Order: sequence, then C-alpha cells, then structure tokens
Amino acid sequence: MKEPATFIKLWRLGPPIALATVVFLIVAGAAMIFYNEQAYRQQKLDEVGVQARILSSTVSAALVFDDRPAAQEYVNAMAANFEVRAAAIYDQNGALFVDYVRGNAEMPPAQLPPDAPRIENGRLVVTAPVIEGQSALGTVYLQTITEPFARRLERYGIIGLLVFMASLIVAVLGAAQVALGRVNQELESRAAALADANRQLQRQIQERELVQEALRQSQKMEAIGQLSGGIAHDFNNLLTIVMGNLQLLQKRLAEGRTDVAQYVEFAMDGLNRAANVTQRILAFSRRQPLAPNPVKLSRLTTEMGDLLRQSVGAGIAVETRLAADWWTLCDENQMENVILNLAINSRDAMPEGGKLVIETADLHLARPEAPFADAPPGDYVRLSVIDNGAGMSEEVRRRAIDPFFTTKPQGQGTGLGLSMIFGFIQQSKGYFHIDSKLGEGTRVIMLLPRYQGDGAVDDAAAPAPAASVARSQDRPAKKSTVLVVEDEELVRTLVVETIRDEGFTVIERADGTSALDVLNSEVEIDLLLSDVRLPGANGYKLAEIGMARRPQMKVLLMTGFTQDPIPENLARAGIIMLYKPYKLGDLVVYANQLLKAKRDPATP
Amino acid sequence: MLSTSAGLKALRAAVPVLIAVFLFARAPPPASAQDTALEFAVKATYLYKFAPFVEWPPQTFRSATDAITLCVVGDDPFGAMLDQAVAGQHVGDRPIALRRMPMAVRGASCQIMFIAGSRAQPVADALAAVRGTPVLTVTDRSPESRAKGIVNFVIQDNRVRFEIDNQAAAQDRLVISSKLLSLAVLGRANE
Repeated sequence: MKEPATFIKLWRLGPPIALATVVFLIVAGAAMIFYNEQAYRQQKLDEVGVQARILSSTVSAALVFDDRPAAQEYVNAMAANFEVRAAAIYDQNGALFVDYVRGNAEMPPAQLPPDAPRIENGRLVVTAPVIEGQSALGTVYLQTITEPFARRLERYGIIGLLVFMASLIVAVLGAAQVALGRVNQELESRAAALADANRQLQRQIQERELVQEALRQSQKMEAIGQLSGGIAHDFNNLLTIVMGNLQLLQKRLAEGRTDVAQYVEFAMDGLNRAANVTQRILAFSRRQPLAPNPVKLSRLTTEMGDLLRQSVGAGIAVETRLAADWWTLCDENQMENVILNLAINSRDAMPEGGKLVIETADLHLARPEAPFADAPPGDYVRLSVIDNGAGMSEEVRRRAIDPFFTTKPQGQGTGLGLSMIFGFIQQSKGYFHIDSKLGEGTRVIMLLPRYQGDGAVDDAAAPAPAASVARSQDRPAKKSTVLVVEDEELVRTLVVETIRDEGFTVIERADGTSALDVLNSEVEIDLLLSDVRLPGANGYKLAEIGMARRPQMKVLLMTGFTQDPIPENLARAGIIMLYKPYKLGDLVVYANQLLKAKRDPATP
Repeated sequence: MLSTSAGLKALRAAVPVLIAVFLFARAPPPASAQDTALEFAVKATYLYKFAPFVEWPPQTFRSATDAITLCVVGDDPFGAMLDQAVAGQHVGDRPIALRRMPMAVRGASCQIMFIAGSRAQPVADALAAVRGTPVLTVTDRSPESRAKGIVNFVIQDNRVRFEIDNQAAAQDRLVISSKLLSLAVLGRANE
C-alpha cells in the first residue's frame, strides 16, 4: 500500500517541476542571448581591432614622413570593407592627419576620441596606436557598423522561439501529468473500493457458508430427532401393549386362571408390529435383506389387481395401462408392498372417490433427462402410480420421503411408507420421483433398470420366491446334535429351548473361543446355529473352520445387523442367514430343512 | 633639463604646423633664408626618423640599449636645430647619439651618416670611404648628381621627399622597410 502513495506524491510534484523547468528554460535562453550578444561584440571588437592594427602598421612610415597622399591611399583602401563607415589617422599629438568617410557617415572628430573602443547606436569605434620599432607615432581610428539590430533580433528571436516552444511542451506535459495523476488517483480509489467490496463479499460468503452449515447441521439434528422420536413413540406404544398383556397374563396365571390365550395373542400382535417397524426402518436405511429376482412389473401388477381393488375400496376406479415388456431385477414381495402402499396413499388422498392409474412402460434413455437427471443413459422400466386426489404442496412434496413425516392424523400413518419405498427403490438401483401439485393429484414415478441376465425368460411359472421356503412336514431323525453359539443369554436360552423342544441334542456356548474348542473336538455335530457377531471368533470364522473339519456339518447363521452379508464362499456352501427378529417357527423350519438335506444330499 | 624639455616640446608641436604652412604654400619657392631654414628643420627631424625603418646587421650593436649614432660629416648645414631635434629621442630602447666629424672615416661606428661634403673631402670621396660598411648614408644633392647616398633628400611639390637606392643599401648589408621604400620618390624606379 506504500508504493501507490509515493507514486501519487511523485505525480503531485509534476506541476512545480514543470514550472521550474519553464523558468530554467527562459533564464537559460536569456543567458544564451546575453552571452551571444557579448561574444558578438567581443568578436566584432577583435575583428575591427585587427583591421585597425593592420592599417596602423602599414601607415606608420607615411605618418612619420608626413606623406599625406600615401596615408590617404591606405585609409581609402579601407573602403573595400563595406562595414567600415569611417577611418582616420591621428598623429603623435592626437591631431587628425587623414580621414575617410563613407557616404553620410559620421565624420571622425578633429581630435582623437579618448573613449575608444566603444559601441553606440549600432556603430563600433576602435582605435589602435601606430608603433614603429616600439615608438608610438600616432593613432588609427576605425568606425564600423555592427550587424543591424533587427537582424540580431531575428537571430535571438529564433532562440526565443525555441525556448518558447520548449516551455510550451513542458507546460503541456505538466498539464497532462496533472490530468493523468488525477485520473490515476481516481482509478486507485475505485480499485480500493472494488477490493473493499470484494472483501465484504467474501466475508458474506463465508458467513453464508457458516449459516448454511449450521442449517444443515440443525436439519440433520431435526431429522435424527424426528426419526428417533418416531421410533421411540412407536415402540413405546407397542411395548405398552406387550408389557400390559404380559402383566395381565402374569396376574391371571397367579389367580390360577387358564383363559389367558388372548393376552398372549395381543402381546404377540404388538411384537409383530414392532418387528414390522424395524423392518420398515431397515428398508428406509436401504439395509433390508432383499431377494431380488427377475420380475415383469406388468405381470406383477396384473396379479395384484384384486388385492388393489379391495384395498382402495369401491369409490375409486382402478385403471392399469401396462405397456412394459422388459424384465427388471427386484424383490417381488417388496415390490408388491410398494405398489400396495402407493395405492393406499392415493386412496387416502381421495376420500371423496377418484381414479387410480397404474402405468408401466419400457423406456430408453438416450441421455439423462429430467426428473431423473442422475440416471445414466440406458434401458429402464417405468412404473407410475397416478391419482387425481388432493395432491401436495411443494413443501410437503419435498419432505414426503423423510422418515416419520406424515400428513395423516395421529395413529393413521407411521410416516415410514414413502421413505421405505424410496429406500427400496434405491437399493434396487432404481430412481424415484414424486410429481404433485396441491389440488391436482399426485404422480409417483419409479425407474428400474432393465434386466437381461439369467432367468429373464418368459416361462409359464414365475421363479419361486426365495423367502417362500417350503415348510417341510418331514421330521428329521431325532437326536441330531446342534451347537448353539450366542452371547446374548436370553436369546440363547430361547433358541436352546426351542431346539430342545424339537428333540435335538443341544450344546450351548456363549463365545467364539469356547465354540471353536467344541468344533475342534471329536464331538459329533450336525448343525452349527451361531450368531455372527461374537466375542472371540465371529460366526463366519466358526462356519469356515467348522466346515473345514466337518464337511457334512450344516450351518445356520443369525444376525441383527443387515450390513453383515454372507461371504461369497460361505453362501456357495449352502449357509442360510436368519435376520433378527425372526419367528421361532422359521428357525425350526430352517433347522429341519438343513438337517434333512444333510441326510439326503440328493435333494438340496 | 626642464627648460630643455619644454623647448623640445615646443619644437615638436611646431614641426607639423611648419610642414603644413610649407605644404600649402602654393607659390613657387622664393628660396628665401626663412624657407631654407624650414627645409632644414624638416630634414633634421627626418634624419633620426629613418632609424625605425632600417635594419642593421646583428653585429652592429653590442647590446639592445646601444645608442644609434647619427654622424654629420663635412660642413654642417643644421647647426643647433639638429641637436634640438635629436635630443631625448629614442628608437625603441636605443637613444640617438649625435656626432659631427670633418671627414668620413671607415669604421667610425656611425649607423646613420649625413654627408654634407667639404673642400677637404667632397661628397663622392666621403661616400667611397664608407662604401661596403653598414652605414645608412644620407645626402642632400640634386637628383641628377652621380654621387648620392643611399637616401637622398629631394624637394617635390614644395615638400621634402627622399630617394632611396635600395641596391646600394643591400650592398652595405642594410635592410630597408618596404613601408619606407613605398614613400621614396625614385626608389620605385630603382627596384
């Protein structure tokens, strides 16, 4: 910041410098003229002096020997120099001896003038002594004209003109400097203002970023609060149901009553609903265990026809426009849930009745298109669920997929429906969009990538859903030995008791290390029933080591964490994963199935 | 000394006036005694005035302040007039010394010699006596005379002029200034 200041100072010095230069130029010009004039005078004096001395030396003898005609000849010879106006010779006593006068020039005085040399009125008067052999014999007088004043003026006029021009240039330069300096200053102040504005802008941007960060943080906290609050609310309700019924059961049993089946039923109902809630949360968090299969959405929708019509009721017309013919890959049961959920949402938006349209279409995206700008080009199957109901405001539309966000009255909706759908579609590598305006109905559009792999064949029978495990009525031979590994004591007790009820021999362990000891012993084990996350060695490791030692042993793993997928090698070995919370009945079915397969390897 | 100096000055002032009077006297010379006196007064002043225009051989003088000796040989026509004219005169640093002698003698150490002649030694003899020595001989003879010095006074247009025999001067190893030669009456014919 210091440099521009000195710069400005320099600019301000411009005018005085220019003025000083002009004054200097004028003084220098005057000095030059004065010097020239002096030099000219001196030169003239010298010139005329030399002429006078020449005359004096030639005329000496004529003067001495009084030869007037000869002297007159010498003096008249001076006429050859047109500058000479008059010439004269004075004798030893200063008396005029001879003279020459051109035209009407001033006559030389009769007596020698004492004040030579001198210049007056454009005349130059010079005298020189006549000396012969160091004796002064007389004096020569010469009167010449100097250069006319007008001509000298002309000469000096040129110098003056040059000085004037130079001064003018300097003055113009000085003025230009002043103007430039002013402009410069203005520019600088503008630049400073601009820099200031820029700083301010940057500060504002930073502040805005901070505010936005805070906003994001608070929104995140709000979402988390909403989520956890919703979960706690739902669970509290369900826990109240379960606890209340169990307390009543306890009381009735203490009273010795046996008509307690309804309490158990109510408690079970509450627990089922709780399991449902966790399932939905997992779906939203895109961590639910899915069994994707090749699915034709058109056929799926057709098969759901009756269910849909029953669900939405008589006041609403259901129309299907099923143009899609391509396969997609998704979990069929979950997809059914999605369609059903959307249909029910539409029904709720049309309390006075209306029209529900379910539409499928094959779609080739040549390039990303709104509203699916993030979908890469390729083939997709589009599924749309359209109603002409109440619609949503933009604010509601944007928050629609937030978990536990609901516009329905308390107790009618969990607020998890749309968020579950969104999670499921994303987990199936699809795209989801809601298009709605208040009073103009809602259109939910989903894109699922086209599937062209194994199983995408139009055979008569749909592929068997993975979840629909055949409930075998076959009872395996009794006394099979099952190793149960579970660190959570209550769960372990439950599992052990259930398995024992089925007539199996049970060995139970609470950690991976002791379980490994059992697996490394010679005890015969037919089935390993293990939690995945265990102190010591985890379930995968137990399965791996156990199967290495006992190729015939079957493995059934249990986990509450769905981000624990079955490793590739274990899946190939026929290991089954049970996700908590599971029904004890399912556990028995799976265990029996595995043991049957062990006995009869031909039928997996 | 003072009276002598004042007299000298008066004479010096009088000379040009006398000359002017002499010059503008248009009438033929009556050859009066007064005229003759004036003529000789002019000649007397001219005698020493030749000195600055003449260059003697270097060995003539021993020092820069040696006097130039003016000798009058034979019957002196000037008398005191010459003494007055010469008194106190200098040519540069050299004073003028005046000497009168009856006869011209070779080696008499005269630089300027006015030869008037006498019965004992006519002009021609006197000239012959110093011929070949660096002496500026001056005579006052008629132009037709055969025996003349290097400088010979003549009267022309009623004015005292002089002839110069530059050849004779050269033989006597004298160099005469061209300024003086240009004033000579017949000097030009001799060149």
